[in-house]
Amino acid sequence: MKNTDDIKKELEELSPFLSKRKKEKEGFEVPTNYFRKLPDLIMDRIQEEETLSSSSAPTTNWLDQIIERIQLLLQPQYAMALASIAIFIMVSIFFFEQDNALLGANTLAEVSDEEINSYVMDNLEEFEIDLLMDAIDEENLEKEIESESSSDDDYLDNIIDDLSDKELEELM
Amino acid sequence: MQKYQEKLYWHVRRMLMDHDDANDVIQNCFIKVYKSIHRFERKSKLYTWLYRIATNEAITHLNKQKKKAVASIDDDEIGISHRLEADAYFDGEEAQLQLQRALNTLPDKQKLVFNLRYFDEMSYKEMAEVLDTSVGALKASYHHAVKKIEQYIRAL
Repeated sequence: MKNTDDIKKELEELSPFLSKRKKEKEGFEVPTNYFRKLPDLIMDRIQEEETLSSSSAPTTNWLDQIIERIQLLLQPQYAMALASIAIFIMVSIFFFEQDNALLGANTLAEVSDEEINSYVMDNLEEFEIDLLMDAIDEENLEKEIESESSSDDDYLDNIIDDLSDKELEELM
Repeated sequence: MQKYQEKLYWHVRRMLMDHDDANDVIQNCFIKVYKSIHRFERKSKLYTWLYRIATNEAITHLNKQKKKAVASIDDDEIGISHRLEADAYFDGEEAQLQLQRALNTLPDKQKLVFNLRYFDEMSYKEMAEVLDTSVGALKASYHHAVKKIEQYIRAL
């Protein structure tokens, strides 16, 4: 009510001429019972549209449904998400494999040469001779033989020194 | 539907003037409401939401008509009064005819503002929601519309 009064007052201030004109009848008319029939007209149209849209939709078999779903996944918003997940998985696998390789290398590095040699001697039959020969460092082997032979000479010299002349003659 | 159908129909009718056009538009409007009622966010009143849909549908219809129609003498205010006089669903007196002629001299949006305020007695705040325009702009538009209509009718 207040709103109507405000509007009336506003018009009186703006245009007393216009405010005096009656506005209850604008002159427009409608067919008889139009507003009573209008809801039914609208509902008939809605039902007609719904019938048309459901009948025009083709029946799909399981293969079509799968194709539809794949097409749905290939839509930009889903394709981006799938691509991101795929990239994440690939990067994770890559780093996981690298870590495993490093882990193997690190584990091996922690084993001492003595432990390695001991393992090789205990499991000699599992290694191929050719591979073992290749693994031997010839230069160091010669030095080792030399040092071993020189220590043997020293050992013999010590024994000979301990023998008496008579014992030496008997040996000769 | 029963509660709002008459108000919305008359709002559309005042814009389009012809009953058959208004009938088509109001049916399209309610079908759109039926299909999109789940999207009504309740940020505004239902009443202003319905008016907004009806206004947009009517404007779309007017724009389509303008694109199709070739400019003719029936497009001016005198031509419009002839059309109204010939319309089976118009039974207005001379005063109403003059008002309709005057209204048709206004730009579409200004005519809309006048109709909503003068006939539908809508507040500026509700009008702002329907037309997505500021209250200040609407007040100015209404004031100009009233002045123009008075000048036109006095000049007849």
